Amino acid sequence: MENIEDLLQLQPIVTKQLQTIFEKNRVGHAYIFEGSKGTGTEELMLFFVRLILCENPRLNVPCETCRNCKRILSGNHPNLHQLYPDGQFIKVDAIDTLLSEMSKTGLEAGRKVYVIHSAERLNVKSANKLLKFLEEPEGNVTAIFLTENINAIIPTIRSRCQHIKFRDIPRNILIEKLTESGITQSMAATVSMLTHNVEEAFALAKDESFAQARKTVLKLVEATFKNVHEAMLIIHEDWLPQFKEKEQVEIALDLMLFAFRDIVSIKANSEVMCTYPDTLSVFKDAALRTSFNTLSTQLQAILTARRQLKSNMNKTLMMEQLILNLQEVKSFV
Amino acid sequence: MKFSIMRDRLLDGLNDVMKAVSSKTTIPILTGIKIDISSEGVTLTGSDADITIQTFIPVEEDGKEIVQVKEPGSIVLQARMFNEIIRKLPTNEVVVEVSEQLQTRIQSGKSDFHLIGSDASEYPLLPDISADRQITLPADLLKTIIRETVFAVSTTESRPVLTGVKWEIKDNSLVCIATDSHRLAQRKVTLEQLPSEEMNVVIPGKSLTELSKILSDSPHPVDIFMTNQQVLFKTPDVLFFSRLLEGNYPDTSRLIPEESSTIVTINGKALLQGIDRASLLAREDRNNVVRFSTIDSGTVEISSNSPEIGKVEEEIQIDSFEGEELKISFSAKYMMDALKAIDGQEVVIQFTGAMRPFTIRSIHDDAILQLILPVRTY
Repeated sequence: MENIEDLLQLQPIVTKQLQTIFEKNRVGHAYIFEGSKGTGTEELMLFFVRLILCENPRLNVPCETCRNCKRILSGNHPNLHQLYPDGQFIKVDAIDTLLSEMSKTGLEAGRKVYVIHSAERLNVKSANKLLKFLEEPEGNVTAIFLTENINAIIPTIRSRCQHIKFRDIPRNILIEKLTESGITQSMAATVSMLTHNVEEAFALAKDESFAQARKTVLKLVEATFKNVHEAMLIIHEDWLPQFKEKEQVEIALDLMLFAFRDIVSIKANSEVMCTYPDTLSVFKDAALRTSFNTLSTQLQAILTARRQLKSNMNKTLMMEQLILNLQEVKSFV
Repeated sequence: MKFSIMRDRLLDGLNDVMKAVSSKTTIPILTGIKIDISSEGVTLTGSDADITIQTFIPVEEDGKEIVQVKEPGSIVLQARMFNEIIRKLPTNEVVVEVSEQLQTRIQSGKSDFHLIGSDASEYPLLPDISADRQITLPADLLKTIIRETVFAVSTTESRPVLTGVKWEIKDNSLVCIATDSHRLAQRKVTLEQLPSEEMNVVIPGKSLTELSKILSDSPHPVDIFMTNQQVLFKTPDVLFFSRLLEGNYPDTSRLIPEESSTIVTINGKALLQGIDRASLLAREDRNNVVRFSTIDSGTVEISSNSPEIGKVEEEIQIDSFEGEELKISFSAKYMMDALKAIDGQEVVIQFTGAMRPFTIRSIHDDAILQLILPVRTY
């Protein structure tokens, strides 16, 4: 578990903010912790809950040795309830159980805390069910919503919570850290777009299949500049056999999106930090030949494909359609 | 820690605490039972967070040695597994020993089990009990009180506080009230020894139902302790803890009408049977409505009419009748629940008009009061 020094380094402002809330004894009834992957929302949530429930906190730091601190980390604290998404969504049943749990007094004295992980996955029905309790909690209750995207939470929940924004690790620092530990500059630039977590980035950069995926995506992007037949061939020969799982396709589409984003950035400002510094010359070429309008339509096409993937479209058809869409734009130029 | 124990007695204890253990719990440690060994005996604790049952096995009982404590201590063991193991052990003597790494060894005859336990400090702490918030009731009376009130709690979660029974200690009596906002059941008990302060808790209906399964029908005293977090029912064998419901219970005293325009005294059993028959033709999906109308000073009519099914009319003799004539409709189910709770004695029904709630009491005392809201019919 990360100790206070690590947390202060990771999120200095948020950590101080939470400590002040505790020090001034102003623990609110609902918080939203917003931060992308690797920004430490989970760690700081556990830190905050321990701080609230700890038997003898010292200098606004939980003691880590008392019964309550230990049980929060082992998941056995009776007054802390955590809710995770079940599949795609957080379902109404789970909320019902939570509410009936919250309508009773705590098994032990003290504040009750409930944490909703990936709160953006609350479906509309669940979110609405939670509203009334969120607004008028019975007893001494605190809610913490963890999310990567606050805008995906319905506004009626947002307006009832205090918003705590977690800062991303600056990309150049992440790249620096990665290159220091022997990752190539170009690979570091790519993985730092996908994640803000150092360990995760490191794992990705070392991953053989990720390197392969990156190669395939670049091959496809280059092919789309040339002709549609070659692109189609790559789809069937490389892309489809390689990306079988939905998550893999999702990452691959993200990588593709970054490639087009690079072209836009290069067109706007040639000094920019790219996702793929190694293919700079090809992209520069493409940037010269394509208009902003076309590029924006192409970005749109990739985003549409990503959405279609979420609604379980056939992967072959989706990719073929994407290539044709990218191509179609070109033929108008 | 190390102790040996008689298997039969341990099984009895396990049987009690297993009633509280549930496999559907969000807190992993609650799938286990806690075993505490002290020089006085063995304490077993099981819980599903809502209710907690604790039982104590003394070192000696009726002059027989049951437990031999070699080294005191505490451990949490997987409830289902431990229960099954003890049940199937070959001999009546069981030796349980816990080593430093929470490795638990269970020995009996030639069989030898090793079970991995959990740290007892992970288990929830039970509340401290203070004697100044204590009342005592006989077990059979407690059971009756539960039977007479708990049926009226709300089954929907839209107002969680109504899923419980409110226990209020005030003016040297205990008043238990349950309502689902369509009907209300109230039971008053006069207490002999009073706690030093007024108290007021809302106990979940489900916990009370569980409790009444455990209570015996004997007049053994049960001590009841109330804390801010939990309520404890203490019988000679087991301690039963239940969590309370949060929130303010609605004020029900103003709901009960003080005066009445029509008073009917009737045999509860005859009325119950009459309504039961009439409800046969009342439609389930329309709240089971039956109509009650006074005919003259000696009879009332119970009727029900569903155009698609048919109709039924039945006259019932009444003992006395005072006040205005009345035609009123109400849910047969609620009426039958109420009459069953009063237990077939002569009952007094007090009406204050066809659109106002009416009350049912026993003729002998007013310990039980049932209140029902009528149904509007055209």
